[in-house]
Amino acid sequence: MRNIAASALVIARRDFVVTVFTKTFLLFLLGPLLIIGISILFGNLGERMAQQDLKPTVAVIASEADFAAIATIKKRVEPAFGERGMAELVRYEPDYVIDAQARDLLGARDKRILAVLTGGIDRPRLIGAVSDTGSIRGQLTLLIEEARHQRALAGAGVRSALPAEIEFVKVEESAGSIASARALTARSGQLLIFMLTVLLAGMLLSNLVEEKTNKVIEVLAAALPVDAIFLGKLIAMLGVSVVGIAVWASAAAAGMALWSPGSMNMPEPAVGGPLFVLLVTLYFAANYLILGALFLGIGSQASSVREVQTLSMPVTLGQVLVFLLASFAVGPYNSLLGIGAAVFPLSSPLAMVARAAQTPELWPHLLALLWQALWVWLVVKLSASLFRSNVLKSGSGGSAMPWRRRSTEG
Amino acid sequence: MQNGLAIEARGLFKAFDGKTAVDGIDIAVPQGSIYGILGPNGAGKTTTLRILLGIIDPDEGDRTLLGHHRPLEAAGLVGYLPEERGLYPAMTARESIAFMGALRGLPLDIGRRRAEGMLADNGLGDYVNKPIKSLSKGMAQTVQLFGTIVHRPKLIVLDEPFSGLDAINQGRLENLIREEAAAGATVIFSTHVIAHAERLCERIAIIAGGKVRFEGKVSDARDRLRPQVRLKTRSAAGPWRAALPAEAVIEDGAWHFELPKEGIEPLLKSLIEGGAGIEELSIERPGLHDAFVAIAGAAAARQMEESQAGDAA
Repeated sequence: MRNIAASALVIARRDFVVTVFTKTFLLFLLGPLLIIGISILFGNLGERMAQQDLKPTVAVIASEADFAAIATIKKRVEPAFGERGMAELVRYEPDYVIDAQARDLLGARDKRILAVLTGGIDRPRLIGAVSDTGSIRGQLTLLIEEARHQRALAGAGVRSALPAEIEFVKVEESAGSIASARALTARSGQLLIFMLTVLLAGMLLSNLVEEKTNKVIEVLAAALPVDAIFLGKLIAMLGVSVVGIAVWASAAAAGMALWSPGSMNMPEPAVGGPLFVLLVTLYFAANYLILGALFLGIGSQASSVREVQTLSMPVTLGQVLVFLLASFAVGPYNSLLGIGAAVFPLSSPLAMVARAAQTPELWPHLLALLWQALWVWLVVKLSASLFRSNVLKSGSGGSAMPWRRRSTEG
Repeated sequence: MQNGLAIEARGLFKAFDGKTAVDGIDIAVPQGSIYGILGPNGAGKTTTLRILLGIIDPDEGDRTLLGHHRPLEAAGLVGYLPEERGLYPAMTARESIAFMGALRGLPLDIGRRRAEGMLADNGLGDYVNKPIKSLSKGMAQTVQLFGTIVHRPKLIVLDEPFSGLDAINQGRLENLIREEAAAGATVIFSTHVIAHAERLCERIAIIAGGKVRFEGKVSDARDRLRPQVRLKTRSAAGPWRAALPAEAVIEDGAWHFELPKEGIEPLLKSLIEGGAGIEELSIERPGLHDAFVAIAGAAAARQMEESQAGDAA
């Protein structure tokens, strides 16, 4: 008998060819490229729009003097609030009935005002759809307190202290910055593998429906071990995924090089850049094969495309849960949860990618890859066994455990 | 294959969800023979073949396929046409045949070359590059049959191969089976049409209710019944009547009864002396159908006839 690998390659070759050399596959390749392209084109515009949309505006009904005092303080402290900055303040001349003016401002659709501050510095009153403990109230409290403080100092004839000049010496990196950068790399690696697996492994759910619908499965099962059929299908779809990823990665790299040539520097992972790329590739393959074998097994039990479609959502949710578990390996990777995520077969590839970004030790990766390979084999065996017992109706009483079969079976 | 058997099965038992499908089946298929498994629908023929091929395992029993206890170990030497025909609709005829060969270890390029030859020799040369979905049902069935034998297997297993074929294609298939057997292959097929088995097989197994009711040579099955005598006389009554066996019945104006154990001569003498006036006398060897009725029972035979009628419809 030919070995499993040779048998699997017959299936893999057929599945690869009928998937890749079709017009549908072009659409499959173009889908993510269109999304990437549109994202790049509209990215900046969207960001600006989002910033404008999200920046809250507070109307300040106050005298010119009070508003100037608040605005001066705001100008001084705003850099400390980072990119998002503070709420936008717009002054309105006090009307005769302040409460009515405030209500009108809050209701004016064209002004999009979140809150109204009345009473100036002395009797401040905030009206608006904001939290009583939120940042808007906190910001305004800070500004008014500081304005009062400055006014008191000026009244006492005391000169305000000069702004502090802090001498700044920039160093390339520190333990804190490295840890932070590597955590970012770890999360990026995990997210990349997770996204690609979600995008690509789901196809395996419906991979055996064609054979079952066309009755080809009987021909295959009479010629090859079911394990080889499953393995062949996995290899084929991994190959299809690699082709897709190669196309998308090339397009993304070319796009980034054209769009912003200097922005491709990522924080250096702990194992080094080239090895990290290799490990990401290997862990993606392991993640794809483990989850793919599982999906293939689950999908093979379905009797129709409709059943497969119904299974898609719980399967995707399962992947999200695994991703969440693996996220424990970012940061405290040697904690109980971090090690647990690395050992649990479904989250192991994602957890180990995070580890590769954060610590330079290599031996755990060798161990992990062997562990994951073992699980690929186990899941393929289990899926094939379930298929034989539940779909082909083989085995004593439909047992899914091949080691419990009777010795007479051959 | 020390015992000269291509297939040997002993005590095969299989139940699905508590319902027995195959109940202690024993089969021995000599190498190089054409072997038929006869039985009505639901008799357990397909399950038996699937067990023999290793698609499913038996709950109990042993089987050996071309000397291998694990049937898939002999997969490269076996060709199998399942009852429910299955091909990839988008694959071309040539690729389908070559792919089926590749599943059995035949290199694709050789498979493609052979496929072209087989299709051309059978008047399907124009369909080499046509996808299966564009072929007629009969053509697709022919393509699958070629895929079954493209790797020149030593054992060909056909599950209801005549089902769905018109009379011309049934004849072609019978010829093909004879040719493969003449070339040294062992052919085993299941059928619910007795005529095919009678024309083709040296040995048969009659299965009904999951059990083998008969296993052996076709001639042995027929020999289970005594030859039938048909007698037509000019005289309607007379002393000669006493010479007829007690179970003799009149049908279509003629007497029908089993050939007496002592032969035809004593009866003939009595008829002549008794003045019967023999108008017609024939002695016919029973057909396989009669043997089937006797072995499997009238109910099983009726089921077979119904299945046949279903095919024809």
